[in-house]
Amino acid sequence: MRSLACAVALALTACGGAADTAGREVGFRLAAESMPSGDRPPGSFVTRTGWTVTLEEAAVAIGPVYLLSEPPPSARRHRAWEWLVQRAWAHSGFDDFDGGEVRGEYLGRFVIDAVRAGPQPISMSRGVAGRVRSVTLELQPPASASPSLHGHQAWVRGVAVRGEETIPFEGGLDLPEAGTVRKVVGIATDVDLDDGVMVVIELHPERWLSEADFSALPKPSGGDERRTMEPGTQPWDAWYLGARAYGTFTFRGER
Amino acid sequence: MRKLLAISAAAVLVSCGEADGGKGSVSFRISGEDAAHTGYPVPGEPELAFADGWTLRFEKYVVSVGNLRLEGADGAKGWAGNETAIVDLVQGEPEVFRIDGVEARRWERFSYGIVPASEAAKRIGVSDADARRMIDGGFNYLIEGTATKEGVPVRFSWGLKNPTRNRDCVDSQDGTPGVVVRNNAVAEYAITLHLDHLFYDHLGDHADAKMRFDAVAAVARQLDGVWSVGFDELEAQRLADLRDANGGPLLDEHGDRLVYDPHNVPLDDPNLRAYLLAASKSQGRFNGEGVCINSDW
Repeated sequence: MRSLACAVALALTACGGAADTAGREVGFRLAAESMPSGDRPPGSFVTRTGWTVTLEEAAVAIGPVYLLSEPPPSARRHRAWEWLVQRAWAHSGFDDFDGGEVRGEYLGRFVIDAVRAGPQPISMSRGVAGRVRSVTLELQPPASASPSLHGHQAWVRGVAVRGEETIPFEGGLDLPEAGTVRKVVGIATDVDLDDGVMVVIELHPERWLSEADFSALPKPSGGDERRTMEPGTQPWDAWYLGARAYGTFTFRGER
Repeated sequence: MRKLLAISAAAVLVSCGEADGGKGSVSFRISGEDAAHTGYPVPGEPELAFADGWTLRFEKYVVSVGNLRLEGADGAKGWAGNETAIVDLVQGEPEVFRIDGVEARRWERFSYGIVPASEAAKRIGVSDADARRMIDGGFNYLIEGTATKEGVPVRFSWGLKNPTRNRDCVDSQDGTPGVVVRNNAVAEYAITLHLDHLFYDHLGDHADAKMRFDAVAAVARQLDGVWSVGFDELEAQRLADLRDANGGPLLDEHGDRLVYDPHNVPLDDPNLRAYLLAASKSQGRFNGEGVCINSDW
């Protein structure tokens, strides 16, 4: 990807007087929102494995974030006209996906509260006007300790219910630095970046635990009924995959 | 991934002519590299082998390929053919397409399709029965082989439907985009398929991916004394809850729970069948290791 600094410099040099054209420098807001699943509040959902989950605490550290000019690998028919004129997008692997030019970026870290409704402001940022067709974000550890993360990169605490079974659980997720494990590359979007636009990172926490079978969590040996999601347990593996899976993050732009 | 074809630089020139202007030809062979012939492990340093101890031989690796495109970075159209071929990579590395009368220049954008098999396709090294199975099934791959571990063979015969356009291919020999056509000469290139991608345990960054077969073999069934696994049976394996043949958690060589990680590659459903379909889309390369952007068709 071409750096934003270069792009902004070019925009200022080449497009100084063209206020209404793509390529000029703009200010935009970046925010995050935990999205509800159906009519339920954020953090309440039913898994594919049949568990009704209510998260009491849930958070994840995110950043950096890059807003990119090129369409993502999987954005088939992302716009209505593409139903008529089919286009082909890169796919399968993503390791070769470049993303084109950086229209906007946020290089810090922030923590999304996944049980809080509504947009959570992150920053005011500078970028380059134009269409953003994909976003790449990273799930790096927070720059400073956050109580909501309990020392991890992500944290959940909640209750899962299936039939007669009720299982309180909690646990932290940490992603290894290896390869691209901490990257979510080429998330589809279609935002016209311009002055005053708010770009919203939409987190879908139901994707985290969709494949989790909470009955696989070992019962604690003490008196506490709350079970621990930790590496080596099936629900933790489901979360490890779900935290970075296709559809866990989406983006929208609004004014 | 090892190259069997020793293809020099950007092209092998059969005869010489002017570098610019005029017309020339391009010949495309197809290769499944050493693995199509030797199976796994592929000898070498390092050896290309399954991490979980399986060996594997392909009996068929039939692919339907075609719809070549040559375009210039300036938008010029060099070639847009609808010709396709059904070819078995196990049988060799034949020329599948030759394009004559192409303007001599660099065509920066080369793409080819892995396409549903059709009646009109030419057939190279493939039986009528296999071609028919491909066409009737709408498959773009037909993969048959036997994997063996601890003396127990497991057969598979899979038709895959996941057509792919491999575009903006880069020549691995010199890192330049597309193909170069020279006047009054035949430039030779190879459409290369990396068969090992099908067995990787994660998608995304392939750098440290490992080839595995335990998860596939775990859903094999014994029929008339032969263990075999159908492609649809792989749906039973959830990526976040892989099971061994006894129904217990599938463990890796370190005794840890094994997961297949699709990263953020979209799957119809997070099961092993959908995962292998997605993995198969990443096989298309150019002239050995040259990268193409693997797109939905």
